[in-house]
Amino acid sequence: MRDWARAAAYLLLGGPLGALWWGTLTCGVLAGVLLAPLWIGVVFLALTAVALRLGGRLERALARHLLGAEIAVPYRPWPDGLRAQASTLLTDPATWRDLLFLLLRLPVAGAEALLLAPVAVGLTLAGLPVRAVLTEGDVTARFNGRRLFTVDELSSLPYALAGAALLVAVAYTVGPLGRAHRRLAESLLRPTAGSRARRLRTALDAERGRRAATLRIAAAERRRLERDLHDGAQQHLAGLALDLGMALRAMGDDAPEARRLVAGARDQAVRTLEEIRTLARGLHPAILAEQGLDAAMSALAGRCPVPVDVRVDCPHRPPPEAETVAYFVVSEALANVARHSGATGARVTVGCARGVLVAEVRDDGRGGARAGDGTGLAGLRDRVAALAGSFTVDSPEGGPTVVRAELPCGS
Amino acid sequence: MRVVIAEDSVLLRTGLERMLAGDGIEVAASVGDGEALLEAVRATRPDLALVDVRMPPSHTDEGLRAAVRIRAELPATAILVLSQYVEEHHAVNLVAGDARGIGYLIKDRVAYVEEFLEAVRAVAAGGTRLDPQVVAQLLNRRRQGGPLSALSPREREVLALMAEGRSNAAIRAELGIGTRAVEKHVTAIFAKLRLPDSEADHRRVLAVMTYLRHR
Repeated sequence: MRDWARAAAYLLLGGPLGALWWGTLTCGVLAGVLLAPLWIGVVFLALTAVALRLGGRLERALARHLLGAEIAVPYRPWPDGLRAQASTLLTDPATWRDLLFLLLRLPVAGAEALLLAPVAVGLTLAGLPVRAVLTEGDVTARFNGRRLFTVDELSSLPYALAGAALLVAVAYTVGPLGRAHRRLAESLLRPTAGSRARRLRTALDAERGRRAATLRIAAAERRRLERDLHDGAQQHLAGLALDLGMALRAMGDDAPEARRLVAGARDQAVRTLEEIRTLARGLHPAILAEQGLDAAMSALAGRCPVPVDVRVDCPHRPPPEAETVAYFVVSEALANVARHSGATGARVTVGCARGVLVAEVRDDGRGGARAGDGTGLAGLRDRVAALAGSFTVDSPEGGPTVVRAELPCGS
Repeated sequence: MRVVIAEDSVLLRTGLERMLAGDGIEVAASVGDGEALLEAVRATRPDLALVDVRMPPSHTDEGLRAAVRIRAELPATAILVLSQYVEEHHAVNLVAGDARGIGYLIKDRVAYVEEFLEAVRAVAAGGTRLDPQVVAQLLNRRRQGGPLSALSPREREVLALMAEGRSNAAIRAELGIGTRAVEKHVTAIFAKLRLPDSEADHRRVLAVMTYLRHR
């Protein structure tokens, strides 16, 4: 019943709203065109455009609330700048579909108004017994001044029943009409497949942009931390180690216990320096920024206790984010080679071709490596995924193990 | 002996000044960046420049680039480079054809004052000192099955010390073996790697470095 009332309300609103849209839009466009030589014409056109958008939004809201239509907002993102806004408005198919819908409202409502005639007849017939009772006599039904028939209280009852039946029949048309309106609204006010794809693409682009920005910020933050460590803690510790070395030298041999303590303190300072160095390298490898992939990979291989063959073939320098992730992939894979693989040799191959940076580490160890949760390899997978790259670990029992990352590098 | 120090950390710079002065070495100038280093070296003509790799303004490898320029302009100036990170590429850039009067050490070495001062004097006297960590990098990054794998573990140790710039006497003291044994190992290494033998330590470093780089 409530649905019926809503649909009926929607149908009844059709006439006034349709008239409003026709009036507003035609007047706006006419005024705009006629006054175009004056700047005021542009204002009228802009106001018409605003009215069109408002109309579209109102109609979408009505269809949603009164007809239960499911309609997403179809408009393209609203840009900055008048020129871009005008262009968006004119090229967005949703603009013209809105316009068509608003202009259709009046003729459709006009056709539907034909239903008002049977409603009037039904009401008249159903009201005959009431009139007969009120006038305490015969009632004559007329149409255009002509007498049709005369009835009294009793003989008016069949006419009243017929009138009620007519009203019920009209009431039954409200449901199907409402559904037809819903379909019309949905087909015109909804985003088209093309515009949905376009929206998705735009959203995807925006998401990619945000992700790239996040990665850039994170990388910059790591660089800053590394530099703070270098200029702060590392220098201070080196200074401290130097002073302790000098103190040791100045002490002489008559206080062996003190000498032992100072020497221990110095050694501890040096060990701490080494730890900070490892930490800083994990944050942002200085050699990568300074010398590029080839040198950085060679340095990694140099620190690996297992002999490593390095091949780097990159004609152009990849973007720093891709470079850094490739570096950490190789770094972690070589650490695994040294710790778990039992390998006697490994090969690092890095190459960039067709916009993809490939980093691969292959060893001759016993295999069985997994990129499970919580391992260094799982962390790598996440870092590679953040750049929309792919990461695979192929490590059958008995070996060999191949760790491979492919990173888009946009060249 | 006169030295110019280039180090942007004031703390470390004053520490180094004190250390050198305490050992009777004159500090002719101490500066905080690469350009100032070049000017100081041109003005004071020191025996040795003690150079930090990473200095302002770019905080990458100013010191190294200044060192290479000093090498070209005033080849008689010995250079000892200090760095928070040692990388074989830095060592290779520095040596570049002549290992005489070149040192490249990780900063931690300043904590071992006697050894550090020994390195300063050795480099100033035309010797070579490469940090064991650099040599380890050079030795590790090798293909399997090459001539290096033909070396015995003892010969690898000797090769590493040679690459650091040690003399036969220093190698003998380090490994606790006799003079004849050291000579035997050195001869064996040069034979196995097919390198021209040389008595001069710095030429030996160069030969070994070149070999390790280009194999």
